[in-house]
Amino acid sequence: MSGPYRLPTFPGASLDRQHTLRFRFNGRELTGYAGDTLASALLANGVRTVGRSLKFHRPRGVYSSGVEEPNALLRLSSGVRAIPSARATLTELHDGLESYTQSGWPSVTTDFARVLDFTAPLWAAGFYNKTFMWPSWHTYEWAVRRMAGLGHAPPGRDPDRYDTRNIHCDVLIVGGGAAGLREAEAAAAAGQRVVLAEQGPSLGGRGAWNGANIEGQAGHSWAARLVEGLRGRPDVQLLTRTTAVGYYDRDVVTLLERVPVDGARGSRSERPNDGGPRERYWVVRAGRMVLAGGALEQPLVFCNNDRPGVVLAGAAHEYLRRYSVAVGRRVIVATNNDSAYKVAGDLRDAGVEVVALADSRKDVAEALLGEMRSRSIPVLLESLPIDTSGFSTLNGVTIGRLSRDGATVVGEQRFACDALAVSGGWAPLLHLYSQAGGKLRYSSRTGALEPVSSHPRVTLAGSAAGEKTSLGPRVSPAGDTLRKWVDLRHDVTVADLELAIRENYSSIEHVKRYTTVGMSVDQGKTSNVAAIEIVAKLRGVSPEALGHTTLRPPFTPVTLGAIAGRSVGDGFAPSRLLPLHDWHVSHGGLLEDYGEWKRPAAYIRQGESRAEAIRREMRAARTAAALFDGSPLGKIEIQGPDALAFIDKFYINNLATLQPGRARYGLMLRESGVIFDDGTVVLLAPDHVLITTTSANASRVGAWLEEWHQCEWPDMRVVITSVTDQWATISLAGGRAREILSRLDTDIDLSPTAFPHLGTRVGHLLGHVARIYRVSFTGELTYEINVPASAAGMIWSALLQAGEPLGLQPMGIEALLALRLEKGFLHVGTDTDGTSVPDDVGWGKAAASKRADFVGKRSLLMPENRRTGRLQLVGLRGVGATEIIVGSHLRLSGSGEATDGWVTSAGRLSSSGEPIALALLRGGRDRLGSEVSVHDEGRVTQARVAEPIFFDAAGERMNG
Amino acid sequence: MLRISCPYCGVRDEPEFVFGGPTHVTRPMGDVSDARWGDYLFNRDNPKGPHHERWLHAYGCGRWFNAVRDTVSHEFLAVYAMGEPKPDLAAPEAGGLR
Amino acid sequence: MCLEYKGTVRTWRIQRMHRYSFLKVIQHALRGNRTWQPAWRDPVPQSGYDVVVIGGGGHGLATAYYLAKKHGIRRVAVLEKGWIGGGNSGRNTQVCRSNYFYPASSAFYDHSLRLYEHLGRELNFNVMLRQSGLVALAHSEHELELQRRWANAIHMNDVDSHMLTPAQIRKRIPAISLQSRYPIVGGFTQPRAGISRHDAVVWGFARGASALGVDIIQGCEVLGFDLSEGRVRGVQTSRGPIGAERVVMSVAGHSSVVAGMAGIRLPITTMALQAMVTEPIKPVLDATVISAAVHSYVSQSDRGEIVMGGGADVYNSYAQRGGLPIFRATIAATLELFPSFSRLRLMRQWAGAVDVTPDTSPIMGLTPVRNLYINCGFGTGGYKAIPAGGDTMADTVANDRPHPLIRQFGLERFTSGALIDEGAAAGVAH
Repeated sequence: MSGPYRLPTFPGASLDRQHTLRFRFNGRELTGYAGDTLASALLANGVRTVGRSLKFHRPRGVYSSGVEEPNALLRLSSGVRAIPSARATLTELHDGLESYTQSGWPSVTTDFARVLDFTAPLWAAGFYNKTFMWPSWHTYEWAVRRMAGLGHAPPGRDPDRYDTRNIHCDVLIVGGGAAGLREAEAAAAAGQRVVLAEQGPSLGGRGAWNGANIEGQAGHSWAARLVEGLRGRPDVQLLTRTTAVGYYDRDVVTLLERVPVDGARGSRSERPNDGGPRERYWVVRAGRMVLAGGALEQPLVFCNNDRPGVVLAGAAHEYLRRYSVAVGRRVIVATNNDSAYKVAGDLRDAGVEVVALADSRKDVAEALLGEMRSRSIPVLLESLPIDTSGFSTLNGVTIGRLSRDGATVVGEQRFACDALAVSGGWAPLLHLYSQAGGKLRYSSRTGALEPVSSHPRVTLAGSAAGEKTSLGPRVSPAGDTLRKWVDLRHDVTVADLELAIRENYSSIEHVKRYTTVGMSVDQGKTSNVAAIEIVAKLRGVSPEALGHTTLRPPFTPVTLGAIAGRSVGDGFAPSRLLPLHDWHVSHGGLLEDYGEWKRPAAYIRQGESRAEAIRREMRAARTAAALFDGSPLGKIEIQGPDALAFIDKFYINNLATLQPGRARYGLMLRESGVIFDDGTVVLLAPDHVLITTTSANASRVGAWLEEWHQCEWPDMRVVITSVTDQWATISLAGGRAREILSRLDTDIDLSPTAFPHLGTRVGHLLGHVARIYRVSFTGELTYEINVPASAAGMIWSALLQAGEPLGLQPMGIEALLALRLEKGFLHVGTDTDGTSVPDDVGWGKAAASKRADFVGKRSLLMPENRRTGRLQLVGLRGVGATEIIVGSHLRLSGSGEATDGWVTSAGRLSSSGEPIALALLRGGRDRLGSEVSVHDEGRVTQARVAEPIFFDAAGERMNG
Repeated sequence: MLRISCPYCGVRDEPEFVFGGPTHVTRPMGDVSDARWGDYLFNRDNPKGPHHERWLHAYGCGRWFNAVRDTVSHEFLAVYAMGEPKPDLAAPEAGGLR
Repeated sequence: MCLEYKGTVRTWRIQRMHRYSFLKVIQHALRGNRTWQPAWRDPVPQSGYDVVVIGGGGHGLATAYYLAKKHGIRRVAVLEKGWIGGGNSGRNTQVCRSNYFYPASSAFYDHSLRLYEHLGRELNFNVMLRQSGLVALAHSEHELELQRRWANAIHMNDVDSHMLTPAQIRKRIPAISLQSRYPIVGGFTQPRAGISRHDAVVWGFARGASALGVDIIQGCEVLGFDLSEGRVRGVQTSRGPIGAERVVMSVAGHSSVVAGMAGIRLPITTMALQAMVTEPIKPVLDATVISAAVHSYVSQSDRGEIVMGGGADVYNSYAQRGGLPIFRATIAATLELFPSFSRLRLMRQWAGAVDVTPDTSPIMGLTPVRNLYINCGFGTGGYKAIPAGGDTMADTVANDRPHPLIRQFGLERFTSGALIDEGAAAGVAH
């Protein structure tokens, strides 16, 4: 015996009584057995109060034995492994388990806030909508907020990991009871791939422990035989501790599998088994689905039906037969259906005193009555509990005799007891059916929701399909409705439902939202149908016509970590690494995120700040040369007879005259006329075009060209291939670039006449194929060297080795951007936004002069894109030494507008330190020379509008 | 998660695909009014029910195709190649690619 | 607030709207809460009204309320297909903010936030606005520059806003992780932003409107318009024809369908936007946190639930249920920001059907059909606009011209090209 309420073991019980487990409850050490749940072990130890209710702080005890548990929500473990609000009814006991109640001050058994219970009418539904308005909600909100919620988020990063499994099957069976096993066997016999998900740790369902015979065998033996047969089949996957939690379009079901902790096998460790995941999230693509998840028992509604000691009858049965625990020593059973008779009988047979059985029906099968008579259990027909007593836990029940019409109580009788097992009928589990689009309706016959019609891919089996039963009343007509609980977790009573109807919150959805019935952590599993019945009666309509609230996913709460799976930390998003990544890391490269790429912002030398490094690299480029890894630059090849004609449709620039061996700058628009991207167009051969794109848009532009080709111009003979990753791009920029490059073995003539600015050459460099373009983003003489990615390291090192004596340094992306700012070169996405058209950035004439159609051309003629006073790209020179901050806004003198534009890029001239910037300014090109005020978080400075070029305006350096 | 039948590869999971919005949208050519151009750029059929749209099997064959999908049930009623006319959904073969 | 009204089926006699106060709560509690009056009436539809508002969501009810309150137009009906507040008004994440980039948006949404700030007392119904602030996160230097541009824009529009350093973010939101896959390098805040209770906003406007004489008619679906000579004369409904001098469409999620009945084509795509909540826990997050880079916004409701949202599902959908890929991505994004939430459990998820416009700004004002007005296209952000949407639409309908605050939000902009592209400017879903 472990605990005062433990009984001898029944056949089919889960317990391993050779194996005692020690666990803690609020610091108290208790024992249980392997196979116990935390709830069964607590009951066995006589623990009655496991929590306090939300509003009234009434004591609450274990109410159920499953997912519907509204009361026994405990914190498990501590620190970063803490699990808030774990259902004690689903928590398998393991050695060393720590559990804590989450409510009550100073303790769960003595809670001073119980005083709220004595002012309950004040806290009726919607009370907060009617008050707390003066002076404002803020005055009260903090206190209300602290009263709400249960448990705490752990204090740090989750040390456990979670896995995702993706599988396909012909049939997914939800529920491993008798019905589910039968379905699995039939489907397997038909050669189908079967996945069966059972929420509990073992298969067989209620039949395995409730003493029933199946096909002439004891239930547990029958189940064991079937399971053995199924386990031998390769196409059958049996998952235990696995709950089907959500149905998603189309025919995808998610399962949550809990991996037991080592402690369940006796170790004190709380790490998941074998270092594996804590939970698994299964994504199942199912050809069809069978729901055989059974049914949930519904409560009876009467005064003070919430006291510790009131439990669902089926739960009392399960604790008795499966865990050998009595829910009390003197038990009353109250029911409106047949199912509780077996509970009363088994309790009596186990030696528990069954004081009486109350049944709200008038006519009950003689066989059932005989069972009770033979055990000397008094049966009270047409009777319901109407009240209970006991301040902390239950000590008595008043049974009332109903009038013929059930509308009043005509007599009552009080019994002393310490437990009351109630059954208000059984509601089939149809959550996934509803999520899959199946329509449901309340049925007065079953007192639950039932399907309106069949579903093409979801069928129901076992008690999920509904059972024939006669049902008596389940709501007591007597007593104060303020004391009749409908939703135990949220403290919603019949009085709240009455108030909602009185105030015309009469749609069932309004009732739910106004009273919060069914909105708590159990999502109405033991309150929704009772609420429908009560509301329908209050409104005088049939419950069938009332409708029901939506059964939303998930069926049971799902750990967020499990949903995310491995998509956390570094797994959240892939990092793209440069071909020269290792070199950058080992040479001081400060890696930062640029889109999905990790790129060196700068190369930091000993004792240098980021800003100092950027300035040093800029100086190297301007005075000698710099080497830049530009590999993320988008590179797309278009090949075929129509290559040039095709690509001409995408740029505002005229490309028809482009000659082989030449490159041209190009600006690309969306169909709306807004600037999309820019880059270089290179004609490698008459039928072979290569375009470059900004790094950020590399994949977007490629996909976009492909879409236009396939969907709009499928007849054009082109093939589009992204070669971004195949070719590394190394940019050698600076006055000494030619000198450095010529030190490497190459068959390309580098002389300025043979290879001028905007020339392109294909040849060899150190024996590797190389495509070299003379395009410049820094304003310096630049060779953009493209070599196969595998050769990048070798070429890079050779260039550095050759160039270092001449002052060559590696340069990060920040220095590059600062150099291009000095030149005023456009950085699409920085100096433009989703409203910029070519004229705004000085390309209006080019766009207007191109005769041929191009994407976005017509949009440039829309009134908005032709009006005056648009934001135009200009340069700014700071008045004084104060740096101009990117993101500052501008205001013209005398302007009545909130803003006249903003700073898009900013820095200082590397030569003089003068603050410079690029900005989008209202009518900017007409305001050259005038002053604007620059606003940053309330600080105001001045700047002068200038041409957007600050260095080598004649372009002599890059042309050299 | 939608399960989408690529006409070239068969049924695959939604994350392999890119949604491309309505299909059978004609790009106006030549001299068109602002109203006509604005209609092309911005206005959408957006039906509640069968919707003609295009999808790209991006992480697969890389091809665009057309589909008719119900915007309430999310069921694919037909898939067909780019350039093909709208299928007759009442015809028995239209549902064949489901 | 005096009104005598007799319907034909059930007699509604509301002589005075019973005021709500703590004293009243006590008085009624002492009488067992049996003396409360209906919050709004359920009248049968009359044959005609001065104004018919289609859609009993926040915007529609607010429009009716302000028509009656500010313009004295009380022969107003709000027609609701289902139950009031059952669409996006009851499905959003309750965020109220006005940190918009363009002056037109900023002015409109700040007007809304200012109305929200006094809405509880205006309606005598506590809408539970908690201005705990909004924090937008930047995960790269480039994003930080864009945010500074954004924050300064808000500042220039005279709306409160300022930049935050990572240390300030950590102090403001202790549960956040600065070292995620995309480290947090800064952000900005609008301190006046907050969350309120969405149902309360709907019910408050309904109660206020009903007390002023507005007929709120639930279970009444509009099936068509009565049009003649280019103007609207009334609507056909599931409960028969109802005449109307003027009609307002306020049917987020179904705008294309309803406008289509009047022959109007809209630049709208209807998509599913998901939201989800965890089981309630004790206070751990006292701000609304938005990250555009990881696509997530997170707050904690006053019930204790962690409320999460992300991007819309990518395809057209009227289904009001979310797809698995975006759902999982939203959870993963939330855990990037708050790794300690990993062991919390998701309690409920749902979705709304939202109207998405090409520039992510709403469409409000007149239509090509005379006396027919439209209010739609709020995309993912209509909740915060409810009071201003109602106020400006009421004014627009009463005067048959766009209210000054919504002049730039008219349908004409899709012909002129004068979009108000908040998404493009700020790079952020809202």
